[in-house]
Amino acid sequence: MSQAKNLINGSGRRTDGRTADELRQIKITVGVVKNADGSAFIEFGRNKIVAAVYGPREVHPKHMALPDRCILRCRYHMSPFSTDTRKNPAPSRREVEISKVMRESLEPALILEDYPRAAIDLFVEVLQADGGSRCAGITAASVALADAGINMRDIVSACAAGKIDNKIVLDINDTEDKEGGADMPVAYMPHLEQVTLLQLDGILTPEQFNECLDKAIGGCNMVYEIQRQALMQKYFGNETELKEEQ
Amino acid sequence: MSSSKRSTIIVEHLRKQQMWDAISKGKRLDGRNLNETRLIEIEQDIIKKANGSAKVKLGNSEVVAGVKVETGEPFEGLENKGALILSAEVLPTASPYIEPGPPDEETVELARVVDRGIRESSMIDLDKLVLVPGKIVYTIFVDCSIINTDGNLFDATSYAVVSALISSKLPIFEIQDGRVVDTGNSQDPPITTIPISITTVRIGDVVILDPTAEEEACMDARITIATNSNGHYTAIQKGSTGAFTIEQIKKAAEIARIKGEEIRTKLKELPKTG
Amino acid sequence: MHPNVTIITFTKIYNLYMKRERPSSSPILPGEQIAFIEEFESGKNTYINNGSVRSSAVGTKVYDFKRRIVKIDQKNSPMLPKIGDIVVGYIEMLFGNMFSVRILYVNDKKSEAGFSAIASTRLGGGGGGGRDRGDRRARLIFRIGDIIRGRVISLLNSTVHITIDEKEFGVLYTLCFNCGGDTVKLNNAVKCIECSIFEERKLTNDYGKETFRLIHKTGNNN
Repeated sequence: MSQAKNLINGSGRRTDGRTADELRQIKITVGVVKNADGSAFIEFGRNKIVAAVYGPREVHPKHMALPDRCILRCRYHMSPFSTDTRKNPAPSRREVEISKVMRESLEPALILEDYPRAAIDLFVEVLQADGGSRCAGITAASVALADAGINMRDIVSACAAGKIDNKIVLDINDTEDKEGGADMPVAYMPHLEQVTLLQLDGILTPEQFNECLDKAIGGCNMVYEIQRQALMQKYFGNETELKEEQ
Repeated sequence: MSSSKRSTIIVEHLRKQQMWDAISKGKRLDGRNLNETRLIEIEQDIIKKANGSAKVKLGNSEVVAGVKVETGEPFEGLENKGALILSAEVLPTASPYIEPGPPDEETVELARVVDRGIRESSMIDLDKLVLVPGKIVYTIFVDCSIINTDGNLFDATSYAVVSALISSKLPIFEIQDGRVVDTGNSQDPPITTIPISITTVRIGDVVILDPTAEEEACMDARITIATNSNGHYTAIQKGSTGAFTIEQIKKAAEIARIKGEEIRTKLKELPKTG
Repeated sequence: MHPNVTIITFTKIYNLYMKRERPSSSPILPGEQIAFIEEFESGKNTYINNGSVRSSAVGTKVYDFKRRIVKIDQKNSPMLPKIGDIVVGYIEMLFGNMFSVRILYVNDKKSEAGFSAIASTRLGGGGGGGRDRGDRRARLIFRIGDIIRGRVISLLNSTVHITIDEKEFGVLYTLCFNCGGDTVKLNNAVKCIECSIFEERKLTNDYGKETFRLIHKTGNNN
């Protein structure tokens, strides 16, 4: 992969005008899918993702049920119009893998033992993809799970960091992902301070790795703040008004 | 959602009676009149990565349609026409009863009925979308993702497709040295007419417009009628297991023409963004 | 442990010690710390992690100063049948002494989770002895599809057990097994208004389709 284009300009700005430590614009709306038990819509940069949760509900087929806990099923899917060239609507290997890592990044946060023999179904649909869609998807999914009232140990927040022009930056976008040096998505439980997803594409020195991880976790904490506000907005109205009352 | 399962017969029977009681008094369970459609909300150009897009809410039914334009070979027998391909997926987010997987019968019917409404009306003048006759033509994909279902997906999807096509910008391709090159410029699509589909269903002896999911569960028969800007009929699909009388069909056709014009006016008034 | 934290908590307790339970207006999300285990025990919708009591739900804190328990009043509990809930559903399967009910409404709210409950076809406690089964009242008659109302009595082995042994429980509505016609209540039986066939059932005191319609109507509005 050639790095012909400079991804960071002289004044330290990236291709979309952000600094190295800046997240893209994030907006989360809770409860957008009427039929679902819990849902969230996230706009993470140009990513537009809907997450919907059904359950806890009866497991179908029944033999999949576990006697001591609930099963979590997850589907990550991209709409055909979500990418630059049209995507075949059939699930790709990439989508199957992301569905799996997404499930594994959310399971540690869920108290599945509270719902034995039941299932929670989570559907994440990418309407527009813009790099970092798995992080945005996990972020939306965990808000949707909280919206469904499922018992959780913590909210999961996800954010990527990576390397472009040999510099570690937060929240890699589409172009940076394609042309940059490394991409490291991280999902993190901000209160319990545990990492639930960690992937890496690209090459990092040990120092860069540490810097990258720290930066990604800083990003997760910023993402959490937005998740918190979105949930507060839905369940407690305007948070600032509440604070004034106290 | 098959209602033929024996164990649910009593429940279905009761719901049907309840629905019938309400509509025979001229009112529907959600308070609408028989000939009243739900509120239509349209947001255009929400997917910047698509060449055109729209999100349509018809009551609680919610559909996102995206247009993607590529080049490709023409369909056999239609060598001098651009290709229009329409697909639809009812996402598993849409209702508790949908399972991920290949589209079922109903979804295939949905995609085909919406496709026919657009294609047969010649909404897009496909003759103008040819690069090398018989070899290379524009291929327009319109994909629909249904996010939430509450009945009448036929109309909701059709409005989404029409709005997405209206909002779309086709990239201008050129042939240079025998290869297709994207010039980077774009043009408005060659739209000739705006087809609007109107679905009516019969419950008992009463014909109602724009059914909700609950009404669809109780319906005896359904008919979807598309009209073009001239008020001519362009596509019809009768569905479900019941039948219509000739008067009912004529009445439904008349309503489709009148209501279709109302909705068309609404679509035309949309601010063209992007 | 930070000394300031303890001081703040004690002031709080001092101010409120007269009241046994006090809801706090501050909103809480899953994961947030609400107390140390030295101060409060973990109540409903909370869990313990590494010496802290944390919330597992979206809601508000409620302190019980007498019993020293902190719990969360959840804002959005999922609709799972709990002990004491009244459920309405239809019979999906019959097996000898038991039948299973597909739950449609929990406390008159529509439930789309598709859970099933099981109930006994005998009245009067059941479960006792086992030997004297023959002496008990004869098994009641039920049919697949009957709409049943019952109360959740146990969640043993993650199965919802319901009882129909009360006057407002039992068959809420059914159709004639012979001709599919409408039925009316006649003492402890249903009578078909079409073909006059008669069948014994354990009926609710408000038997009839109007009752089901009412539940259906309110259930959908929620």
